[in-house]
Amino acid sequence: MTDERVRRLLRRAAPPGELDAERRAWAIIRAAYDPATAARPRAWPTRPLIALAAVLALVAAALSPPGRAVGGWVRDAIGRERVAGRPDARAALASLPAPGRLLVVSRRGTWVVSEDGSKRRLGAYADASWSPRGLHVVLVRGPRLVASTPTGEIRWTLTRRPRVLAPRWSPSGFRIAYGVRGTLRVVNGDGEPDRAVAPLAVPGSWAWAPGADRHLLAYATPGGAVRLLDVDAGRARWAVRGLEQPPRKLVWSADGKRLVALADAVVYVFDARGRLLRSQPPPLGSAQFVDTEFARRGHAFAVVARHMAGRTRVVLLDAERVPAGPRLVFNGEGRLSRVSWSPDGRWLLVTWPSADQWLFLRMPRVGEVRAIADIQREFDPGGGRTGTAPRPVGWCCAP
Amino acid sequence: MPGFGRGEAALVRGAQAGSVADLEALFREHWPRAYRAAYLVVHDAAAAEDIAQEAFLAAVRALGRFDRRRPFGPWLHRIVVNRAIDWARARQLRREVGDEPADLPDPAPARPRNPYSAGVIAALAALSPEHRAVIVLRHLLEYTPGEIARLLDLPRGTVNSRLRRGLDELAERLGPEDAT
Repeated sequence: MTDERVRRLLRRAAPPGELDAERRAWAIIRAAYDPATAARPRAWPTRPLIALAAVLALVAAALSPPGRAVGGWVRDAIGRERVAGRPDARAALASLPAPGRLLVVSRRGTWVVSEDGSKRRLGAYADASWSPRGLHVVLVRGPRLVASTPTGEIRWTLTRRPRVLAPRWSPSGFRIAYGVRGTLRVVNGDGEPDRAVAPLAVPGSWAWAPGADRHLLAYATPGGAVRLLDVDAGRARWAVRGLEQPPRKLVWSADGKRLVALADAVVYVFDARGRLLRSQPPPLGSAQFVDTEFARRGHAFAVVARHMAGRTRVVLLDAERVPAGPRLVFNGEGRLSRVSWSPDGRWLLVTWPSADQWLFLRMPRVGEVRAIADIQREFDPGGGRTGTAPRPVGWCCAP
Repeated sequence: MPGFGRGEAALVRGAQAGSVADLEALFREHWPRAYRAAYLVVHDAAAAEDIAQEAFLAAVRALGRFDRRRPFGPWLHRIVVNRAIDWARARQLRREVGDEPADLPDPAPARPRNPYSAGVIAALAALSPEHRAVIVLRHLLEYTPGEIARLLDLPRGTVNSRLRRGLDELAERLGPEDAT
């Protein structure tokens, strides 16, 4: 067979929808291109310089009378923004306001917090997820995926290089989804077999559909698609392509009838069959969505949205009514990062890294706020304020 | 190797300086071959679109750090073809364990639009992803075996043997020239 013939044949083998694909791709590439960032000059590594500047400033602070003020400025320069937080904050996390156990990832590893406030460190794991009834946790550390009991007894491990991320246990308990590079993989709850189910997924975007009789996994692609995969059949149930912004987190309502996809500046609401019902820009003058979580019942979901003026808001939206009617739940200076609902749905935990506080808000009317101060030290006893905020990754059922 | 002349270097420089027009020119220049290469390896239009799109997104994200002395095309094609091989392998694995192919009931029918395409696609589909990839790199993207070896991190002898074996199988499946 001549080279020329092969060349001719390959050039004739036109993929279907070539022009449409090019049009869609250009729209996405164009949206991802920021001329200002592209034009940024290369060269000096900025982090070491900032660190050096910070060290020099600290020395200056120690040597000068108004040292405290300079020290505060240095903290700002290296990114540890600090705001006052709530003055009525309690000094320690002595208990959780609702039954259940909280899984928390901090700089020192992953912890299980019991209702009475006691904490057990499971190890130096970077992410974690509960099994549906809280009998097990799945943890990740570098290339290792580890299934363990909440008391730290390891059941099995799996190694996938270079790095495993964002494990999610299915509601049935029989499957665990996780990422390796851009690939979405699924392993059975007993550790085997393990397989790739999607080649391109936004890291951590995946979410299992609750209440389904099959293992249905929704995920987003970097190109702006949301897909629902029947994992056992190895077949997509539906795909929605060409979303204006690629979502980075998907969450299901508890009844599995609504799926919310969170992108930087829009929230998309889908029904279980993949119909895009509505979309919502950041509400109340906010500029960027940060996190979202559905309430334990109904179709309301909490959203963290950052405001351009250096404030962050938590609002409650209703999947049936967006874009109308966001209800402000909390409005704080600086950065709020995550929301988690208690298992009974009565409390919403909001993390507030800028104030080094956690807030437990009594829902739905925010009748009470319990603030916990010094939350970094809570999960790093003996450590200092590092700027790495502990993050709750699951508030599960009582044992 | 495809033409990476001064024109391309100028486009990369322009895109790095913030020119949308230069970025678009770069995209229009490289998209058709990147998409087609991915498609000929994975045989799935939706997956090929994602793979090519993701490679371009990676390029856009890394644009500020891109070394202009290096040609853009090989860097892009390396991402595209390696991703495509990974995807095709994963799909093969699913089939081995008895499942159906995963992706995707796309609105567009995943079928080539002319009879020439149908024959080539079917013949390529009978090869392994690794064999398809070297044939696509050699005969669609026009890299030399040495360049393919560097792109795929393979010994040159492996590239040559894959090319030889792949072409033999293609010839057998496609029949004499006048049949295509």
